[in-house]
Amino acid sequence: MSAAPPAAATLAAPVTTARVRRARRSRQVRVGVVLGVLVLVACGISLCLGEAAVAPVDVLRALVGQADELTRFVILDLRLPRLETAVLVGACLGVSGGLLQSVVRNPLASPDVVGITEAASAAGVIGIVWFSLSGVALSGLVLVGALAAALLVYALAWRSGLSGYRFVLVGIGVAAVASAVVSYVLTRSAVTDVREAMVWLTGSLNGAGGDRLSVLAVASLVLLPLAWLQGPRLAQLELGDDTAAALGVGVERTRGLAVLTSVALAAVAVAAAGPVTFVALVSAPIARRLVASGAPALVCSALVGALVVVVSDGVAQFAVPGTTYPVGVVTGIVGAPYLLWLLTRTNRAGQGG
Amino acid sequence: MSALSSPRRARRRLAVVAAGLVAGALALAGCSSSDDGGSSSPTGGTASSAGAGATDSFPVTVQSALGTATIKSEPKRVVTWGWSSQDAVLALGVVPVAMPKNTYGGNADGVFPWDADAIKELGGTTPQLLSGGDTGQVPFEEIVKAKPDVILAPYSGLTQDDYDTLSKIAPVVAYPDKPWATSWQDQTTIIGKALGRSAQAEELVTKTNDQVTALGAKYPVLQGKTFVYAAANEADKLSIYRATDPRVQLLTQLGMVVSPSVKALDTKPDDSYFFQVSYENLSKIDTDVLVAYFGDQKAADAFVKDPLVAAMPSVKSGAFAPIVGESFVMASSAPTVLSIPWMLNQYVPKLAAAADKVK
Amino acid sequence: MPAVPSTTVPPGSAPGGAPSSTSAGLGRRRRRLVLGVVACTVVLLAAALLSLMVGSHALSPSAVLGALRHYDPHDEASLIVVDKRLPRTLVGVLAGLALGLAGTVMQGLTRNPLADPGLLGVNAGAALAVVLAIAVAGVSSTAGYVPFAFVGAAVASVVVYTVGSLGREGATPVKLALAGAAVSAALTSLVTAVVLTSNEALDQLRFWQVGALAGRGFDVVWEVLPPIAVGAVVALGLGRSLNGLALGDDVARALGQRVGLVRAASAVAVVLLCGAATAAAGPIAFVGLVVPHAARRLVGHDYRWILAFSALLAPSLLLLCDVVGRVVAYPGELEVGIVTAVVGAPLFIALVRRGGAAGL
Repeated sequence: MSAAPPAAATLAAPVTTARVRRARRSRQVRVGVVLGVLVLVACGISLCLGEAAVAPVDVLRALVGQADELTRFVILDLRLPRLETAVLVGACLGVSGGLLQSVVRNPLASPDVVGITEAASAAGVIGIVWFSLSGVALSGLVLVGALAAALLVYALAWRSGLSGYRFVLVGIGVAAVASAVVSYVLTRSAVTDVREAMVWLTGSLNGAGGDRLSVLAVASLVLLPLAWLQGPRLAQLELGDDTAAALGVGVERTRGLAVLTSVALAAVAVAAAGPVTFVALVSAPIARRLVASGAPALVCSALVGALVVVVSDGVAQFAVPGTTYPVGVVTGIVGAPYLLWLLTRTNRAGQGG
Repeated sequence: MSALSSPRRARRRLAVVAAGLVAGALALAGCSSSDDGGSSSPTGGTASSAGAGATDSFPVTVQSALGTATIKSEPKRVVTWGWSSQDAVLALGVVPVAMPKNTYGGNADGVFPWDADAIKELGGTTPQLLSGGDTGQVPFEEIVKAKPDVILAPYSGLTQDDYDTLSKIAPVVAYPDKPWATSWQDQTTIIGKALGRSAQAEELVTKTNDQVTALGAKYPVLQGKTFVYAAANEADKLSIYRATDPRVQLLTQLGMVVSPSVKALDTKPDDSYFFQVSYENLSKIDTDVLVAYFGDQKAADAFVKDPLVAAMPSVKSGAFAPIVGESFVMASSAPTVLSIPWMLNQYVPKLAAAADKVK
Repeated sequence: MPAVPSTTVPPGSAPGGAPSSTSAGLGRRRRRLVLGVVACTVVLLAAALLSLMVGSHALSPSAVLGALRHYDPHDEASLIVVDKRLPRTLVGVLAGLALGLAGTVMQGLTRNPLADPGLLGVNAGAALAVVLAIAVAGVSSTAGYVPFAFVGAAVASVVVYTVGSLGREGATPVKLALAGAAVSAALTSLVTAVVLTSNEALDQLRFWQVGALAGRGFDVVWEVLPPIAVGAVVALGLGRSLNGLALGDDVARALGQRVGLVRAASAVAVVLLCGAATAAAGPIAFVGLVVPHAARRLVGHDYRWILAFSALLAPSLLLLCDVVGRVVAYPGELEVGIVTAVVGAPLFIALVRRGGAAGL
């Protein structure tokens, strides 16, 4: 522990910290811009791919509203909504994972692990198999399920304060129960229902669009900026509870709000496309490595998430001719090597290990 | 990027099809019966002259649980979706231009044997096979590629979103009430109405029903015998189908009766078509004949080797009539005007032989 | 072997508050623990007996005992008790034993009460192997899955452990957990890919994935007995080493322990035990997580006793859950995997709330 009084330290280095902060921010901006461009390029390429062959020129014409009806249908009603959903789902999941990992201070934490996604999955499977729900009704049920689970986990983990560790552990308990519910439903249903449920459980962008996309868009518009605003305070929180409190951050309040935002983002994403494997777990660590600043790089997490989902969806649709897989299949297969690579390279300190 | 064709070719193709559609619509205006015109596409079938053409007048409106479809003229390019819609279409003399690929129970191409037979009889070619039949994910772009006049999905799990999106491509005929709950008779009449062949559809239903009853009459040993229809997918458990299931209803049409002991065991009836019974309770099943389906003979053999199964009176006496083979399983699980005769002709003799063994 | 006194129990952890430093206190403690082991053995025997007596088809105790004494292939009670319930009970005992021991070793190895033996990717590896067996090799019996599932589980855990131990610090808990999560997610995605293209695989996998003891006959018992026996011997022998490891790598080395060897032996034990249990009964949640926790609260921090108690309590829990599953869903049954999750989760959460999470 440093013995220098805090006042002396801040007096001695106002210039250097400002320079460091500027350099850090410019790197964040640079990485963000590159990621943003990559996302746009990936979307552009995806717009041109598909069974109903459409030339790039026609794609552009359709976007402007000029090509014939069928082409416009394919581009504007099929491919574009799917890509928009992919980008938003990826962004929401990426930020959700980033927030949770920052709060719990453990790169293992993601909505998948703490039971939120499992509970949302259980709600979704029940909705699909028992009530034949779809569209906005299904999304609503999924949201309710996720939020109920979050409240339950929070309530059970709260014991004169919220310990991140306890939160994760209780979440595992809730996840196991939800998983049992899913298993129960799957073993008691007709095979047709089981297949539909399995596709949804993996995360699928098929048929994305319409009302579901509108709900997702509105929710993202509210939640993503909210998450971004919390960034600075979360960065301070990562320095340690006492340091943060000394800097004037309301520790409990910040944590609670971050967790709530994380859950809401995950719930909204799952409601739109099912629980897309791995995106929440993997986007934030990748973003942090790229930005290399140690802060929760939320904007970059969103962009990395969006890129992962868009590229994975493309691969899922077109890699194996004649078969389309749901996007979750690819995110799982692709996300894992990334994470393993990260693991073998880093030697993280203070990450709860 | 091989999915991209050259811009000029794509545009020209779209223009040709549009012109063709317009010309075709003009030609059909005011006519109530169709001639067979060759379609301009190299794949997909033609409306064959085998069997009469459309006899109803267009436009036709078909209601379904998800919306109303207005079919303006006799559909030439029919796309089917769901489990067995193509059967009724083929039986009415139309070869679809696209239908789902069925790997389970289908031949090497992914077509059910009774469909392949019907396509050959009608002189058509194998339609474009749509992916996603296994997973329920509607392949919108493949359907766009098929350029349908109508999309028929009376026995499927279409969601409202799917329906709305598909309706932008062509009129969609979905299930009348609930997903995966349309009887084969209703499927046939709905498809008949959509294709403008209601009278033929009625005839088909009557003919098939008569075939079933005739088969039942041909084997009087079946009359009044009780049966239990089961599936053994989970270890040490038997799934028993309830009387509302179409598989069970087919056998009752032959003159057999659902075993009353089944109802006694069904202590918590709910909406689903089946309920589970542990092997420990097999002795509580009192039935003349036991019917169960298996993907292959190996599974059937393993089933009867279990000591508790072997101890069942029906199995001991040989009154066990398994339905073996993926195609047979599909034919009996999703019965239609085509699959019923295909399957029953081969299965009912075996069923009768089992019923013979009943003491 | 390190020259440490045999009672390497950290002070203040003994239940009942008896000072652990006096020999009288130690004697009393040991006696209490031995009595505890005896009590747990009795509980296990009672659970096994219950598993034979109780089932979906109600049989009188005399019918059950008669069937056990004299097997009559024409008598229904004999068929049910000897052909079904007996091997099922044996598999339950073996799988429970394996999960309890594996869970304890896992938690000692990673110094993390969060560590479920499934963390090493065992479940996902086994599931992928099973699904490939169904789709490619046409296997369809529970006994047939066992070798595939075991190999799949073993390969997955080896991969996870190897990746988790790369880097300077070796296999830290967090790295293992992350590696496990990564490999599990990838394998699960592959499972989904296979299952969506094969109807057979989907139909059978969804039942295997739940985790059940039903349908496991004597053939399964013989298949999993060797790996579980070997794994159990290794695990029980690791007690003292795990105690050393719990003090931290540096202290353990200072005490003369070969940390790398202990870690490797632990991993081998976990792979053998958890792989065999999953191969036999499918993925069963919570038993490997809750029982070591509970054992630790009962017994203290000495891994030799935690291992012993876990080995006895876990099968009891598993069998009791199985029995519950047999009677609540007449005329069907509820699979044990569902019951353990529904029963185990609240238990686990209660433990966490009581402050059990803090302990290592």
